[in-house]
Amino acid sequence: MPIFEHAYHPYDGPLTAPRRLPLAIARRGLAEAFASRLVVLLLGAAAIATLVFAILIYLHYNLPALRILRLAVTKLVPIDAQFFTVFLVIAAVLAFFLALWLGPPAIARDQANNALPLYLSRPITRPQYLWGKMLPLLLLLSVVTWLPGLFLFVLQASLAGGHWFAANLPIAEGIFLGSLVWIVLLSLLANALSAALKRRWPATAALVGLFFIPGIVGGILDNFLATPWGRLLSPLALMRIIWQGLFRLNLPAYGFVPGPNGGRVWGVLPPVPAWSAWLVVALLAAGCLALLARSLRPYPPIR
Amino acid sequence: MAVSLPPPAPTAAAPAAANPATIAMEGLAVQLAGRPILHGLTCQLHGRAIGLLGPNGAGKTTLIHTLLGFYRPSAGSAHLLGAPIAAGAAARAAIGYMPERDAFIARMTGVQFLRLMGELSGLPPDTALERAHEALFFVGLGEARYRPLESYSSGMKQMAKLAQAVVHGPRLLFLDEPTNGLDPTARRRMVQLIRALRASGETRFLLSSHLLHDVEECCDEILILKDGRIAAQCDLEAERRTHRRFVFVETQGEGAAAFWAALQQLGCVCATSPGNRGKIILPEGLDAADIFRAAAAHQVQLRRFEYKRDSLEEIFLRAMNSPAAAAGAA
Repeated sequence: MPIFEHAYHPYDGPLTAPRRLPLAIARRGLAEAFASRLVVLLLGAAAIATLVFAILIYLHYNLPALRILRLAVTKLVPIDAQFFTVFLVIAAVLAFFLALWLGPPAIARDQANNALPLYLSRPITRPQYLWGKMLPLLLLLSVVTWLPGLFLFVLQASLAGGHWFAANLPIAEGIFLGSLVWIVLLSLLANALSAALKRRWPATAALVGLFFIPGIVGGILDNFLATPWGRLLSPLALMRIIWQGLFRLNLPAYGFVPGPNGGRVWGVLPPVPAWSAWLVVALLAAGCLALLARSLRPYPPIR
Repeated sequence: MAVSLPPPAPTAAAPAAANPATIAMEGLAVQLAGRPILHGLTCQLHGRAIGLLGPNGAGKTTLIHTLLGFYRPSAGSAHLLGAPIAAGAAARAAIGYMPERDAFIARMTGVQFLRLMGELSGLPPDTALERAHEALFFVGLGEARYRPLESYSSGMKQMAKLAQAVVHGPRLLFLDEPTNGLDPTARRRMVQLIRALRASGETRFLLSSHLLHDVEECCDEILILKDGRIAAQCDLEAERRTHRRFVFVETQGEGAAAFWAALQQLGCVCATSPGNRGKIILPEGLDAADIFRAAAAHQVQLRRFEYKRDSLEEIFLRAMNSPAAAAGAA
């Protein structure tokens, strides 16, 4: 209808398929994310980290460059599972800050402005709404974690040859699965807290607290009860256990362990099985989904 | 990828028909927190403009929310334009909703907000943008469409809520207290817009309001709830048509007696009262013009001429005091 008519006209044209409707929410979320300088800064930092790691890989196979820098190949960091784990840890930290900035306001703003009835009176379901809200975060976190991680893996494989690729395929699997677990957990936690607390800054504080306070409590439990299981309370320790399993690394974890004469000494903690970490992460994700199912309602439930 | 919505599937409660009921309810009951709110509502509303009335706590908003799928019925079923509400999201494709409370999406201009709402209703992005501009002009926010929603006044936000409800050209609109919090001028404008929607003949709506005058101006069918039960259902349009046969007149002139006699000869039933006043019941085949002709023929001036009409307030009060409503309250 031409705007000068100022009249109501129905719409009889084609409609978008229902499964594509959440993309409208995601598009809006991405536009809002890229309008933030901090997001651009964090994405830039991720690009720089990737570039540095790519240069490290490249130097291994460029003797003229090594000669110019007066470096020996043996003095360079070896390109192995630990190399990629270090990259993933840096990427995970950047992903955490991205999630901290973008996750808490996502649903909280809609809750604060009573926007959920507007969304849910349309042909989208609550899971679709959640998918639309999570998608921008998942995409941006992918851009800083597994996408550059796999790029580095492919770069190394292309320079080292087919035998390296075949021998180290579990590293690629570790990069992808390790990143996926981290970004899904971050997105779920950020959105669940956003939906439940309905305000940005309390949700941000809760997210920070959730990542660090249980770790401290777990450490205290480990120390007093002389048990390794307290670590399972910390999301950061959980990811460390999961990543070690995926990358087939056996890096020791340090803490206070029983010493001589019933005292405590700083030493290597007994290992915690990877399955227990997977189980806790699955429970955490299920808890987030339950919280979202409870909080994502057009109107608060009447009690 | 674009698809067209399939026509709603016919069911037992809403048989396939060229013109299905706007809203059909069959024993619809809703419980919230274990407390029954709606008690087995059964009715068929065919009007294009349906007014939903009732005192506070009657269940009006609960009924709207249930029809929108926000609450799950504890018993019974309901159909909107022939499509069962149990169909979930698919049933909401042709529906627009203007909530009672302030509701918008933060950090957006008016046109961005409406575009998103249009896209979420299934419009392709370009069409959604085009219709967002049109809908904002329709509600009178054309000049403010690039301003952030947060900077809108209460009245403008109310208009933006109406615009988001119509941006996708729905076939059925739910308007929950659309004139709430509006000053008289803005209220007048809102009523005009709702009347324009009705006049377009392209959409139907359910209007919930406490303001009987607004409902009377905009609606042709009324559903009155009391304590979660139907207290009255009234086709205002049919009532108006019926009342067009009842006329009150006040005459002046020497030929009044002859005038009344002439009307009786024409088949009218007349009752005169002191002060040159009288009531006329017109038989089939006669209309107001015949009364004017008779008056002119007998040199009588008609100083007052009006059709009998029950005000909505009378209908509402009657419904509140009706035995059915009283039974509901008990």
